[in-house]
Amino acid sequence: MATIQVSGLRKTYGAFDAVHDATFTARPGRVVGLLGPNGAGKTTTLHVLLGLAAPTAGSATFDGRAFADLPHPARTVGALLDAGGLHPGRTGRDHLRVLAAAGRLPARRVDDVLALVGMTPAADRRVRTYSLGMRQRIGIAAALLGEPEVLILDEPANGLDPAGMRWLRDLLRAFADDGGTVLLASHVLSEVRQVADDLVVVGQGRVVAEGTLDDLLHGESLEDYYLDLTATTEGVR
Amino acid sequence: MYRAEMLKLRTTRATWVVAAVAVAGMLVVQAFTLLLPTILRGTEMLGGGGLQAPPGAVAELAPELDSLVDVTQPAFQRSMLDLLGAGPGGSSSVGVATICMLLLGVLAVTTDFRTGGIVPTALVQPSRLRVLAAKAGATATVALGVGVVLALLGAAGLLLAIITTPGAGLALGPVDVLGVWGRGLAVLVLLSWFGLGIGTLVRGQVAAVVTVGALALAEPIARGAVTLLSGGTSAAAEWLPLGLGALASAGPSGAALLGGAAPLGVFAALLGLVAWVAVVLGGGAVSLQRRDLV
Repeated sequence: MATIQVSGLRKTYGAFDAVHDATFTARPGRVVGLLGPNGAGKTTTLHVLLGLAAPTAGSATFDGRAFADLPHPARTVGALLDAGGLHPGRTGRDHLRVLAAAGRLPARRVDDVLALVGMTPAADRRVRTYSLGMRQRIGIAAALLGEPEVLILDEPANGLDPAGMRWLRDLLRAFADDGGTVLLASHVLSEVRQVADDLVVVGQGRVVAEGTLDDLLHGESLEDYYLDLTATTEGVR
Repeated sequence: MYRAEMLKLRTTRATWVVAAVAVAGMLVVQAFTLLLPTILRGTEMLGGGGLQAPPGAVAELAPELDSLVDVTQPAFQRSMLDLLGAGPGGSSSVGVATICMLLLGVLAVTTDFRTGGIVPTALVQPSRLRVLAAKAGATATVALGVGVVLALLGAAGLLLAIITTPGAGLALGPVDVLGVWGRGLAVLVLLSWFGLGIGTLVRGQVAAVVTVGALALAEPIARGAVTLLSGGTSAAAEWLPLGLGALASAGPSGAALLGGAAPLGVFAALLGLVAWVAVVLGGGAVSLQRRDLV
């Protein structure tokens, strides 16, 4: 199982420092909650980690390897970013078939993950007919397609109904308990509180707190802790 | 990866629309070409047609122009088989098939950027050059498929023209026919790759489509302007990409016969188009490698 290591990561867009000297680790068997206000640099960190954007300085690796250097990226890392990049005119099943073909994954995995996320009955409908929650489920199915060792999810609870949120929580817990590594960026603090083992809090592009949930909170509620911490680093930049 | 990109094109309505428009464009050109001799005869009978030029010029040009609408002539038959469907002797304008192939390439890459589909693709295949190579393979396959349909339509149109024209027969040898089709297929693929290069460089779908439209409009104007300003002595405009495609596919256009600059040979034109594709698609590949995807 793979360890995520982010070291001295910096990403600038012109004069704007989106991520500044971020360093943290996500280890196998742990669910790591990545928290921070809007514009704190969470998504940018994930983009660099997943090779979608080049770092200005520092590194973000999986067991010491950059994402682009992984021998089997689809079998190592599964990720959900934004709305999952779904074409509105394509069916959910076709979206997954495309990714299975691109990642050289067995076609049977498409049916497996569709069943896993509860989307088999709607799999042959066009994405434009899906609700946000259904799109999220297809995005999560895509992340699980390669039976990866690492899951990286950016706001996966967006649009999910209560049953879907519980299902997601159980999925992430089971994934980590089986030795997988989960990095979960979310604003839904109650969900993070229920599923995360560790926390990484970013503010203004910097990591302002990192540790186990118990060590950081000292019995305080996550909401109070988070709001106190991010109030000192300001909100949206 | 190639299979994934083929699946993307097959499951996207835009691909089918582009292919259908290319086929419809060919049908219109074929119908117009078949009717052209009748139309010209009709206008002459009405006294409104014919060449409005000094008698000497008419005598010089008439045989050339006659061959363009004479079913028995190789030039006419070649124009019927031309996959770009530029019409008899070429019209010096940009044909529907040309625009469709450019758009096919543009849509193959910009749709991924428009919908964000480039992200899940890059998550399962981080090598951007492999993704682009797969897109090139997939667009080439679709271009060839469309080309085969266009070839069948051209053959059917030519057959119809020969059957309905007394005394007409096939004036082209098998090598000539296969040459027109082979070069035509190569040009269709190259144009789709040219569009792929534009799309990869521009990324924004609307901007890339506008770029293609501007190119299709501007190139004939630029060619005419160079011919006019140089008094027909400069062949510089012949090196523009869409003109090279038309020339490589069907040979010298009607405009060149009517006093334009001496055209390049078809193989020189094909090589010129290959060079354009290498520059634009190569530039797109460098851009895709260097720029962030999100």
